[in-house]
Amino acid sequence: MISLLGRAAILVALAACSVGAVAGLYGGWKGSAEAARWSRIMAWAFFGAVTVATGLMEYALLTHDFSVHYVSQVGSLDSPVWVSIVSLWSSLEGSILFWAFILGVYAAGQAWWTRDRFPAHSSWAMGMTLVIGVFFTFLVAGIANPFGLVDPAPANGPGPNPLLQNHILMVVHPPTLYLGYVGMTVPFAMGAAALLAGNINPAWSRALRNAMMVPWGFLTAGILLGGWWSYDVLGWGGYWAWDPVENASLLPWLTATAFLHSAMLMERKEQLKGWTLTLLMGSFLLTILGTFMTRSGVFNSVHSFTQSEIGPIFLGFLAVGLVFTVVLLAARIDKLAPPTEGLAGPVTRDVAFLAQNLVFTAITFTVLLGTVWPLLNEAISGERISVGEPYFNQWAVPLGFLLVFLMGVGPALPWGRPSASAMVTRAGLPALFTVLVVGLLLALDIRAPWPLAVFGASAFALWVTIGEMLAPGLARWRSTGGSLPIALWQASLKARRRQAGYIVHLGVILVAVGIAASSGWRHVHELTMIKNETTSVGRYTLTFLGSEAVQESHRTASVARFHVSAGSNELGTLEPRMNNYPRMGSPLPAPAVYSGPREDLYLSLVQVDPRTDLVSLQAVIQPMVWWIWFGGAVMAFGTVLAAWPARKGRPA
Amino acid sequence: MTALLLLLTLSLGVGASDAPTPLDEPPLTAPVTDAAALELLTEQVSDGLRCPTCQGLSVNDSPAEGARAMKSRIRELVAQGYTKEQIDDYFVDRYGTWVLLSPPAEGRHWAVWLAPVGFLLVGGAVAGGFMRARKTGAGAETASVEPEELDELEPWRQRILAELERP
Amino acid sequence: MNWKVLAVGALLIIPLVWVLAMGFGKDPRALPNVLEGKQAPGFALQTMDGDRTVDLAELRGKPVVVNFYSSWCVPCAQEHPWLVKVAPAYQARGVTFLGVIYNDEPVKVKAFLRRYGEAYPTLIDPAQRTAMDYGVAGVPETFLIDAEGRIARKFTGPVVPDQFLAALEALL
Repeated sequence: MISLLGRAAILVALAACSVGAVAGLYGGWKGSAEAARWSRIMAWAFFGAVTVATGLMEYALLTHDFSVHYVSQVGSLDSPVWVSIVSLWSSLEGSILFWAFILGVYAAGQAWWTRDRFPAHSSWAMGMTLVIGVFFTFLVAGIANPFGLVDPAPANGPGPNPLLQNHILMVVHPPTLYLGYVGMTVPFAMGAAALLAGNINPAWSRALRNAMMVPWGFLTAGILLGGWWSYDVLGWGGYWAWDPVENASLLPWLTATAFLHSAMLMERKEQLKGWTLTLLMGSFLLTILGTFMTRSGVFNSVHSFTQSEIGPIFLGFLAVGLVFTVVLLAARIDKLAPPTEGLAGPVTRDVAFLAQNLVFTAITFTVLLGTVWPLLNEAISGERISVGEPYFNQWAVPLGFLLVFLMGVGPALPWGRPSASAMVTRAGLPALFTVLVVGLLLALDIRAPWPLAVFGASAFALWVTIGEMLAPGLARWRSTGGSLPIALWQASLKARRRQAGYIVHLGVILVAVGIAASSGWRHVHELTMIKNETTSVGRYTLTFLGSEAVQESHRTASVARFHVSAGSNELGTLEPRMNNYPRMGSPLPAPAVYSGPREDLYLSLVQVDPRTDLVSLQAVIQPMVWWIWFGGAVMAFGTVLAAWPARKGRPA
Repeated sequence: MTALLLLLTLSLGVGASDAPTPLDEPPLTAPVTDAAALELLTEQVSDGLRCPTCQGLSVNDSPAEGARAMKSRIRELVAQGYTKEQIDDYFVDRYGTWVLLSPPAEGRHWAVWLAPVGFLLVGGAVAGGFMRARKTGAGAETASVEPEELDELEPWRQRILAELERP
Repeated sequence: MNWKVLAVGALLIIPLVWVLAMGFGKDPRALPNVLEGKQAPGFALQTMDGDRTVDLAELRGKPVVVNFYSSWCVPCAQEHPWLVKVAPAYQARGVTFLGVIYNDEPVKVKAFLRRYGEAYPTLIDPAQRTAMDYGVAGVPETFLIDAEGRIARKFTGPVVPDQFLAALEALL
């Protein structure tokens, strides 16, 4: 029954999407407001139909209706309720359905947002979004159909991939990442609309940046949550392994971040239009590349789905998207209106923006090259090689440092050519602060060059950022007098987007410091302990209290118990475990972490047997990992603040 | 040319039918007895090798049983005085070049190690040329409108645009 | 039409799509097979019962089958009964079959053998030394060693019956 209803809903969605796409493109071409209106109505219909389909699938998962093909693959009577819910995105077919659902949400959002604005572009953009929608709904209707009927229905299913059941973050990490990935469709469609219409005005420029802010925020959060998941689940004490799928999520983030900055030059001076649109549309294409990497089975990764026939289809879609984008850019790039204002050089904010774009693009290129090099090498020579951490770090560390450096220098530079005295007042204090911080660190005997360089650049950026945030309020206070806090608050309210951008920068500084510290001073200790033995690791004292076997509904586990203290400070009990899932050959470790702003103590079991009193484990001590998650939260807060729609009324 | 020679030696190496153990050779350095030095060298070697049972983790990072065994083997070899190159060769002979976490900086792999530099140079040149082509003659700080003021002007701008676009 | 943009675009698209397309049909998890044709690394390992030591060098002159396995590995349980079934006929023809424990405890392996059958000695590999010498990256892996002591064939994952038998016959 659900099979039938689900399939019907998907066919309705496909029809709505197709009609809407044609209507939107026609509306853009002919300038027909009526066609544009139909395109928006179809976007709502698409949203409604995919919502029904997704709701039906969730219902089938929760009621364990094994007559539905997808449920028979990933469902299990033994799964806890939350596992049943997240099973929707635990395997290929369900995740494509989920993708279509999120696209439906975005399409409806776009229809609502552009309903009576941007007449020159909105119809083209709606049409393009729905063209992408047709592709994904087509996949759900055809090759990745999750609603197939299984007859006779099995009595039980195997449950989803154990790695996914192992942690509660699986509830939030994939949806967040999907909201980022899928959301890139809207700015892509809007960029294509600018090219199809053959012009881009400042209002549309601003709209593009706003449209990118939402998926960018989700992608940022999704990447960081992925790092957190990997830290809490995979048991090696790291958050980033330069795995192909991790790289795949980083690539669009890099180009999107570059876009958000070059778009400021586009908005302000109508400069770099072609380049900015290239970054914008490239970001979407990189999400498709990422999806291909995750689902084609061509790349080896912890996160990848099993091999399926969907790979060639995604590759075809990627190729069509690439060709479409390049041809469109080539055809229209010279038609876009020329810049209204020249670039100022050489030591100006304009240059900082260009340099920032160059560094971001260079990282994108390096990560992409490193990720596909094993494939390329094998195609040339047949030899299988790995490209991993040593290669990526070689480039990511200096280029990352350069970004933190530019993040400090850029805002300190004026838009126009600065006078020498202006430069001294702008850069003098932050430079002094930097010298103080680096001197202090040196006095504390911290000598590692790269972390030290990142800390120095972060100090500079921190001072400049806070200075820039306070500047409008101080200026207001000086000119009008009154209370300083009120002046600061009012000025901030007026400059919400600007302040929000700087809050994101503060978050980035925290993340950069956390990454530099935790990777610079990471220590791995291997321990073998007997029951009631006490040993010291770093500044901690560890007592092995014993281990026991635990039986849970969907797994068995061996849990080891450790008492942890630091000096006279009791830190409590840590319980790393080894989970055994029926579907998995070797057991999965589930580490236990004692986390704080200063450092993390991370215990991961290598071997444990409750029948003996022995345990062998790995204890990883890393400083300031916590700062990465905290900085991520600050970035998310800043993004929400920036993307929140303005309260002032729309023009009548 | 070097690349060609290298390929040749590589393929010869694969074709040879001797027992694949450079460990028949003596260690190239004196035994390492200092505990701290031993740990540091062991970490350096195991950071560069890939854990065969995991997905892209180094032997040093991975908590997997196989990786732990490899690490203790590496520690043993380091203690006996084998160099990083000798130990790398030992594992490459058994697992293939794949076991190195990053490709050796030799032969065609130079391309992947150096391409980012090339990219920065070309990109820098393009950006520089672009700057020159688009430069303004403005000598002093330009008094541009701050984005916030743009925010406040936006409704009016929209209104004007809407008027203009009306047929 | 801006031909520069078109050219740069083509320069990016064509190699990228070509490389990705080349990846199809290859298993990214399959490891390169570098040991076939080389001299088999020597070993002298104790049997699980500790009653004797098996030295590979003493087996020269007749083919040897070395099977790395463990009790927790699902494909091992799939292939084991079949190996136990075909082993006696070849042992009679002079082939030596050896099992080597990979990352496991003798107690569990003994239970495994009681369940799936036993037809040849299983050796203990302390610290996985021999597994490393043979480049074992997971279980099961099976090596066919010829009379001259060279590795003639390596099977990653459960052995494919007809391929295994054909390779073994070729060594006799």
